[in-house]
Amino acid sequence: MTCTDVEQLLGAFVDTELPPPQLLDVARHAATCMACDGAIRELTELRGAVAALLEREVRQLDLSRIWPAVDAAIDQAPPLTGAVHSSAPAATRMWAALLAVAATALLWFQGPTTHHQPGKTPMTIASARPTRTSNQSAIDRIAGRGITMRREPKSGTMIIWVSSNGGEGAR
Amino acid sequence: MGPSDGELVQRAREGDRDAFRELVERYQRKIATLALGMLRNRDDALDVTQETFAKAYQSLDRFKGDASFYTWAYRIAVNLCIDHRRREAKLPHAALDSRDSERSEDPLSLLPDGPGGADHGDPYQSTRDAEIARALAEAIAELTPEHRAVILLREVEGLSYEEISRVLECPKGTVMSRLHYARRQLQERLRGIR
Repeated sequence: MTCTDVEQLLGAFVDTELPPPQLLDVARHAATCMACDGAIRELTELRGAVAALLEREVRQLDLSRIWPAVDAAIDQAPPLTGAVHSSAPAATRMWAALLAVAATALLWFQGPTTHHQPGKTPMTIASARPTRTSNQSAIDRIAGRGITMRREPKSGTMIIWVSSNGGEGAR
Repeated sequence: MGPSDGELVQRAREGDRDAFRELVERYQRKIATLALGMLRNRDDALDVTQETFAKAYQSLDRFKGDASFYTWAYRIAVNLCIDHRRREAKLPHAALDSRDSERSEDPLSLLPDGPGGADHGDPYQSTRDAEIARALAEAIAELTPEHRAVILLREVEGLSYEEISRVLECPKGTVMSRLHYARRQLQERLRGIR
């Protein structure tokens, strides 16, 4: 290894960022070359000088005022909704929002699902949907076999009378 | 042994302000050192340090666990310092001049242990040390923010090339070339007085 080779690697050598074989090569060369050894010492001293300069100055800073200021800034900022309550990535949140819009649009195009009248409790989307659910089909199959059903108009509650003798049901 | 940074970040995300306070106290000196090196003004350095942590708290949901908290905080701090310097550069000259007068340029403060600090018993040596420190401070101030950041992160904070590349969001090769250039600039300045 020549001085020119070593010169290119000096910084990484001082920073111990070289792979072990190259680190050894540079060390072997520096052990026999005063110029390269001097350059390594100079770089090491520079690091010490820069660090010492800043450390001295930082000792003169009043760091005790940092947390109160940060605390106050946090209080003044809007609440951390995203940070505290959701760790979902932005892409996921975007897709969730798009799906919500699509679902709303779908329900809209299905036609009116509620018929709210003053004084009346609105029907839920599920109970007003024209398509028959599997539960409704099951109820139809057993209706008329001693079972009578009626939906309360105000609350929308389905009341089922079941007769033990197969006649008109009892509540 | 206290909780890890990751545990504190998680607790802070859940609204535990004390956990975040512990993170601040753990890293405030490092961030302040970086900010002081970047801005060369004590009040500005403290302001940027505070802003860094306030911003970090507000962005905790964007913090990814694959990076360490302090490299992430360094990134915020470096960006704030660069923004601060850009804003300062747009100020009228008169304002800049008045700000320069606030800078830490007292030769006594550059002595090894600060004003009234350790006496080497050798006035010549003390004066020379102060001269070297002043030249170094001036040379650092003359570097571009990008070169200054890389040399501070390496020489003062002791980050690896890989960590610096993550903080500055640039390739490792760029880190190496900036570091090489910055060191050369500082060495040349110091050679003049050695």
